[in-house]
Amino acid sequence: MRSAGRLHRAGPVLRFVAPKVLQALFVVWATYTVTFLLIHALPGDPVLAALAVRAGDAATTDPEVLDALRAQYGLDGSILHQYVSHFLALFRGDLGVSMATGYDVSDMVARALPKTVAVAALALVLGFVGALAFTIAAYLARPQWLRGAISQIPPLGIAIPAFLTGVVLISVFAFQLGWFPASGADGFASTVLPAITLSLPTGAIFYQVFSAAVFEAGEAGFVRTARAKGLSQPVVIGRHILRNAVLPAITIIGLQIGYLAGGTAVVETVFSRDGIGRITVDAVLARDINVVTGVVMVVAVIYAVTTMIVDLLYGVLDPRIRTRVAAKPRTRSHAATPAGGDDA
Amino acid sequence: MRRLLNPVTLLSALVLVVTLIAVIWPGLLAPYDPFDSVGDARLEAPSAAHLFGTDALARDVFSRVVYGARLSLLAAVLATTAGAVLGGLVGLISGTAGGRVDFAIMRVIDVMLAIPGILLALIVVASLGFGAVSIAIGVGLGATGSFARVMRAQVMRIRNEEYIEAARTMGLRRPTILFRHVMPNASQPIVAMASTELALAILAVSALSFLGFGAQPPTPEWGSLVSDGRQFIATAPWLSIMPGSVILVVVLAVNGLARNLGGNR
Amino acid sequence: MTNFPRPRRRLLAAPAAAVAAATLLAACSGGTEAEETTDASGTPAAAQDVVFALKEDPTCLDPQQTSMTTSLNIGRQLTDSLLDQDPETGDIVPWLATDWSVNDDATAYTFTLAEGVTFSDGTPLTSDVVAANFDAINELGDAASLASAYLAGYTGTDVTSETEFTVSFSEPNVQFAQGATTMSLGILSADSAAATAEERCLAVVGTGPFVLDDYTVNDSVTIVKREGYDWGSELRGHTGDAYLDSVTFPIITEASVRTGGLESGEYDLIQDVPYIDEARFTNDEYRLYAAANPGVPNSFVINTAHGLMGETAVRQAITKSLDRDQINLLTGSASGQAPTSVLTSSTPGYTDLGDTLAYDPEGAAALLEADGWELGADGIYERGGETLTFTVTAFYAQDVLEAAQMQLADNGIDMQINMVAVGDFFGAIATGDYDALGAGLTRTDPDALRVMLSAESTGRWGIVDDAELEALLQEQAATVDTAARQAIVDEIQQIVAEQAYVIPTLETVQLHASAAAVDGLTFDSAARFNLYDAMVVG
Repeated sequence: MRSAGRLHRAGPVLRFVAPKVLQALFVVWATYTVTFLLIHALPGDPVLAALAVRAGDAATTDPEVLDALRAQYGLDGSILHQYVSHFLALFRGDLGVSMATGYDVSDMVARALPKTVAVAALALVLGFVGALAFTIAAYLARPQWLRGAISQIPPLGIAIPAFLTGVVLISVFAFQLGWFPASGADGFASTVLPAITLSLPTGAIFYQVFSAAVFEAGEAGFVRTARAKGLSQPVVIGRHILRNAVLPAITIIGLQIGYLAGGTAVVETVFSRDGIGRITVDAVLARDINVVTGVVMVVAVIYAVTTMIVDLLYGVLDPRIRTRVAAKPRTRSHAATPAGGDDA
Repeated sequence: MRRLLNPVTLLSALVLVVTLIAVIWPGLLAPYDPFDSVGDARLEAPSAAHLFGTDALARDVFSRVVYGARLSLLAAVLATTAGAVLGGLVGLISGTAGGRVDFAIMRVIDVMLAIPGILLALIVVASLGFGAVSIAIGVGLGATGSFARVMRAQVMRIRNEEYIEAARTMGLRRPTILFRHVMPNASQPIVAMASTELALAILAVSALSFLGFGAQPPTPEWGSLVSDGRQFIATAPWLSIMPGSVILVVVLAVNGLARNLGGNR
Repeated sequence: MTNFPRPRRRLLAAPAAAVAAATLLAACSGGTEAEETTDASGTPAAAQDVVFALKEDPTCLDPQQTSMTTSLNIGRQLTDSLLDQDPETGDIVPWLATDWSVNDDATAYTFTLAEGVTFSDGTPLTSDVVAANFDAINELGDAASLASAYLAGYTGTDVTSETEFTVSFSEPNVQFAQGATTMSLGILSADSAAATAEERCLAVVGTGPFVLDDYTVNDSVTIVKREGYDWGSELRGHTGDAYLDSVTFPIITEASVRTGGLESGEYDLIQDVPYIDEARFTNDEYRLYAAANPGVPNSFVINTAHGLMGETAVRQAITKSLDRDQINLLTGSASGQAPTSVLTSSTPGYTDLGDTLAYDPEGAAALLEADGWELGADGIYERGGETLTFTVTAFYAQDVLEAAQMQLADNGIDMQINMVAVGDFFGAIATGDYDALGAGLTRTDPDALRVMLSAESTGRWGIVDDAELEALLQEQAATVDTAARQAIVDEIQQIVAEQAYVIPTLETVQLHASAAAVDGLTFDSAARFNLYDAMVVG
């Protein structure tokens, strides 16, 4: 789809772009398939779960009623039929209807996504800036022990459970000082504490990448040359070191997004915020098939598109990559690329 | 030898030894029965008698944290092991086989990385039922992708090394080369990575049990202890903060040792 | 009629279940009468906009469909009912219907509507609209489980004039008059009644003193005063428009955030105060409202066809091994009390069976030992290699279960807790795969026991094979005479408690709190709040 407009472009560009677009499309399709299979392997009756959410202690377990509802939600056809029809609907942007609440899933996602994105974006910015600050501080710190001490701090961010950060922030900044609301998703103020909570681990990840890049660069010849040429410290930092830090930072943004998508489940619970994470937790518990699929698809699309853009950007920023056959640039230290599967 | 004298390492080791005792013989550390009330002292603040205070049912929170170590840590260890073994095998196959097999496997890995790990774990837990083992499988599955990537990269690097070439020219069979030469050499980074992953797994496991997918009550787990205490955050913040801090300290200790094992990168 | 907490375990120590008729504790400066604080023109002086923090998303705003207390509470402000009920006396009084009568076998109810009542969309209230409402509920069936239960046996509504109509049933329906006072049978406009179930969940139009202004799912609900409202029932404290100009209901799922917000002044009222925080709001700055749930208290509801639960001695030993006062002390509200029957003390028809439900560990031991059980080495009873254990399946009130578990363990009985998601709870009911369910059933009528235990009931939780009980359960539902019905209900409670078919653990109390400046919040017979008379003073 995206490559269509570029078809008239020259061959090399297309050859560089097309596989990446295809790959993004593949990830989206395969994610749908995997999710579909996983969800249909879930035990428990989605209809009964949906009924219980709405009817509470007045829920019936009359089999006839349940069968009728099953038919109403299109859960009575064959698995293959459901797979195909659901996928076609997805292509039209129709994510279906939540069985538990009756809301349109597209509406639910459209409502919740901006709130989650607001927190995640602020967390990325805070994490980026914080990591940069620590990197520069560590770079400038003179006695070796001070540098060592400073560089010990950011890794703490990845070790703190998000719920602990959240709980402490709430009790200090919301209850005792009253600076920020303890909950809700109303306005900028409400995004601050959740974003700080999420920024600690993202910042720690950024820091690992930055410090690796900067300290390598700091020892690299061109920095020494720059300094020998009499360039001032800020110029060296600004021109040479930061530039070296930004490139690897871009590459891990895709991973950070996967991480943030998971992290929001905890943070939104702690801060009672509406958002993608909370919707997902509730939907999984309620066996709300359409909602789970919808959320996964949206996250997968965001992830795939971001990864694609990052790959393309990387190509633009670093022309060497374009000529490389290797599929993707990866950061060299595994410690800097935590698994997408580990969220705290 | 200097590395062993590093205070961070020593402290980390000490924390982990204490944690290990809590896992194996919790009775040695816990002053009270974690499942029974200690009288009518509800929601007491931390004191000499009750280091972490007491909960709403007048149980000693410190004892519950001690007893909670077992499930929380075993689940994390299980998750990391599962992820490392499964991911390692997949990466090994992918890196060795190359070609279409490699391509197909890597695309599947891409997909696994595209689904947020916690969601994958949630779905696994929902289908296998609540509990520490399901959480471990869910978290482990989430970590499989990155293990596979690292393993594959290692295998591809080693494949072209001279001694492998030498082994091949000597006429050794492929499986022999694979298991005698490639795997031992490729495994080192996996082991180093596993220690880092263990810290992340402790966090992921506690996050899931915090979200309410953990063991059945009254079995204590670190994440669920934090979650249980959360409703008293205004009146008794220590109920959440104490178990939460224990998680933090243990994770730091694991990281502290991991960095040393991994050559202090 | 529930008030299920969000289906997430661990976070649910505050017992759920709906609010209901009961004690209203104003633990505060004392009853400033609304009238006293109004100025000469009858309008209050302070800004009349309040923020009322809810504990959960109402999910569906349509009071006819929902069973969640939170949304029923909002539905009450938007809709009026045909009749109203005095929470003190239980007397049923006119509301939208100025007059009503019932035939001798309770199969036909005739109503006369008030004149001049309009819906907030401007359309008038007529017999046809009411008929359309009842027809629609009947059609919704189980999607409107509570409302359609009140209309059980509904055969149709005969409209005799613009303001007169008769609702008919195929069998006696004693509950309908009381049902007609609830918001579950609150009257919606013709358009709302004709809309799809999903549309109605997002917005409904009623004749109530407030109008829905905005509903942002999982975020907030806002209602504003209906200008020109003038048809409150005689039970209301004033006439004309509501005092409050607007009420905003932010959805705040964290209890600690709600209580913190009330203290900081962010919220004026909050729903569901954790019991543990009760003391914080028992002073002059706040008003505390305690409302006990009517119906079946939080209990172990037994499946006698499963495991050891078929043994009467085991069930009776369990009930005797529970120190309900201690459970109430550990997990209940300071303003609540331990259950003394299989109906809560606030339920019509309740009989005090405190002796039957007394804590009696010696009696329990005697029963078990007579049946061949012996205390094993680990302090749990055993018999021929079999351990005395049973499992309680539940999805809320984990702390109550844990407290009970500690007591039973002290008395040699092993109880396992199986906390599940709400859907799996009903899944267990559907398959009958459980020893006992840990839950309460909130109803304003002793019929709750029939709903819970009768083999005929679609909402059957307790599985018992007891022909005598079954006959009594059916008989009370068809008995119109109050005294005769009470006698049957007494007998039912005695059997159920003695045979330990239902083992009560805690009478759940719903606690709400407000700043002292908010006055005039009233509760109906099911302890759902009414904001019509509420105002901000000072």
